[in-house]
Amino acid sequence: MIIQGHEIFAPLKLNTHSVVVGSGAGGGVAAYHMASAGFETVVLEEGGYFQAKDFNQREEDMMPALYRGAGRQTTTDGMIYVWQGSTFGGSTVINTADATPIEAEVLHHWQQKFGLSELTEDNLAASYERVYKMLNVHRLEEKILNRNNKVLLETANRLGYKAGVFNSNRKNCIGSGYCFQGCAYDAKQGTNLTYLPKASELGARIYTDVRVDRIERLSGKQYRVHGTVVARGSRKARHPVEIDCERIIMAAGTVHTPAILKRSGFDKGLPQLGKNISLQPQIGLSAIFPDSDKMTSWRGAPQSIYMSEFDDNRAEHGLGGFRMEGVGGMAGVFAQFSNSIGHDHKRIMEQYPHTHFSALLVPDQPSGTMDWEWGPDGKVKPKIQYTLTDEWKQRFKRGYKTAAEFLFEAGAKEINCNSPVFGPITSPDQLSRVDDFPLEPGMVALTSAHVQGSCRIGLNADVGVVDQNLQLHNLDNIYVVDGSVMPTTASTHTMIPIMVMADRAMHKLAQGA
Amino acid sequence: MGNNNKLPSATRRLFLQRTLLALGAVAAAPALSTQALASTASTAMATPKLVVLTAEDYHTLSVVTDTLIPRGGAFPLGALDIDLAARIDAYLDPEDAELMQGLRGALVFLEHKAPALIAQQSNFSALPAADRETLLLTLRDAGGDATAVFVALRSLCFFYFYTDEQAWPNIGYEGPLVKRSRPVYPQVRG
Repeated sequence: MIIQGHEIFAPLKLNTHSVVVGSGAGGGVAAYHMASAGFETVVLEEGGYFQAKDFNQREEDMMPALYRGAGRQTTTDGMIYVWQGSTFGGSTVINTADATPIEAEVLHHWQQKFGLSELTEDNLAASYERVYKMLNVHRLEEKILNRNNKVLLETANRLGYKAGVFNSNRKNCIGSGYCFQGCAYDAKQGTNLTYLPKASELGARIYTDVRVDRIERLSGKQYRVHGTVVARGSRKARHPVEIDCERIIMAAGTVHTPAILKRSGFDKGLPQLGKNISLQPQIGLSAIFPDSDKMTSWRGAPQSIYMSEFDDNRAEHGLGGFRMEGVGGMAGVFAQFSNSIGHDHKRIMEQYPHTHFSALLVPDQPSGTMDWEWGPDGKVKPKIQYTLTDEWKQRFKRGYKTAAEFLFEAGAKEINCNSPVFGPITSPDQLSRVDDFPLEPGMVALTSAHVQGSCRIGLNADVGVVDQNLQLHNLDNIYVVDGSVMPTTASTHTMIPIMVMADRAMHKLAQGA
Repeated sequence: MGNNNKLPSATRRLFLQRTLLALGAVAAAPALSTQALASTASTAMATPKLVVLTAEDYHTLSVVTDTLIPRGGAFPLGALDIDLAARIDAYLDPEDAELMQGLRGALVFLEHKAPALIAQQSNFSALPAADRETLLLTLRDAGGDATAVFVALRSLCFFYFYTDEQAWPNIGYEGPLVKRSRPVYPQVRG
């Protein structure tokens, strides 16, 4: 059963066994496993309930409806946009349906550095099998690969570089190109179409437009979840919510899960809460090709091919190096990719059909921290403190030069990026300018689509927030199953890693193990 | 570093606020005279029915949009042809106080204070088009809050211009495959 906020007209009081906070990659999996095991389950999602019929493929409408903070959530210095879904299905509704596993070197890194001996490829294998089956993960079909992405593969092949086509969780995709705006065809198999409906069929009650504010520990093994029914859109408070339960599974995302735990007073004894943030920042690049080479970046699978020659994944540090991936489908956002205005900018936009767009992804080491303020209405204001390290900056610049060289090799005439002050590069002999790239607030807009790490796994409370079964170190029966548990960035796309980690923990829990 | 050479590093280090929040600081900073504010009220431009912006905001923003996306050049359509300022007004959230404070601060700063950066006495909206473009590029390269104003206004204008269907034929973009209006949020009381 799915109950939307506008269907609630009075304060809500419930009793249940398990409460799942959030309905994205982790919350969906958790809800399904709890309901499958016969536990009375309530799912609380702050975002609204939207379906394919609501998705109109327009950025200006879909970003306010589906993204946290309308897509304007940033680090405190404004330099990095932190994109998260905030809707029924969470980020699985707005991602580009790329299915990448936790890299083997990352698991080895976690084993070596953090002693996480249970998180092995063997121990996760059954979870991959379950998740991949539920999501219909398979290699992307050739027919929906566009020129914007293929140019990466063709150029990589010519240069002898590693590159490949993503696996994806789509079904009958027509390649409309609007993954970032929610799939209007129900092709993207997010939790909104898989785990959540199945959980609902199994008896879970899913409430949308309900924000969780804090958790109160009652006597014995009981908890009370305090929340608020909010108005869709404005998210103004409407009615209070109280739910008594035995088990709470947090899946509100890396930014909001620790906020709820802190507001509940559970941060005492958990010194790592809100720390060790990885953002995996990326920059958008645009490359203007000759008129005859139509990229049509907005049609086809937006993010379907990667060039991974410069990945440097090792057990010593997990993900490293840098890589390129094609992107597409957002004219309003991509219009920002230059430093020009007036007729100069119009000249760039006139070449939109033969402009290639890609992202340069540069994995980071966990170095950010988080804090939060709460307004009088209970709305939380996250403060994501994040400083780029010198090592990352150097790797970014090396990556930028390499990507630009690669794009010139592919036939590009001019390369721009999402910086309002850094001018175009029009030939390889200008690449030395990248040495002075302005990696400073206000001078560049980086994007993080994979924020991780505020409640990382650790062997004890001194070094982590949750144990290897994703249970809080300092309280029984509270679990965390979202991206916040990752000790370091798990993969270049985090939906599958989150689901697999959640599946392993929730499957065990459901089996009573 | 290309066109960024002129930025004093100390000024740039001071710019540590989210763009639109920084604009709020600009708004709160130098108080403008009543006369200066009043001078923007007189405008020859017809003002449509507005949701959030004042007539003064609208007037200045319209001139900004015209400077950023003028008519002619690579394609004929300009911001004024679609009344971009009104479109932006329709999308602004009146309850986002920080955003509104930031936007107002940016517009007031640009209209009244910024022209001094290029030794001009006039308000921004009274300058010739070439001088307005020069001023915006000066803001871009100045660093600090000036760059914040430039970035915020440019982002807002480009985003809402290129997401408008009237712009799409001009950039060779076919637009969405479905024709649907904005999602309707359920209206509730209490």
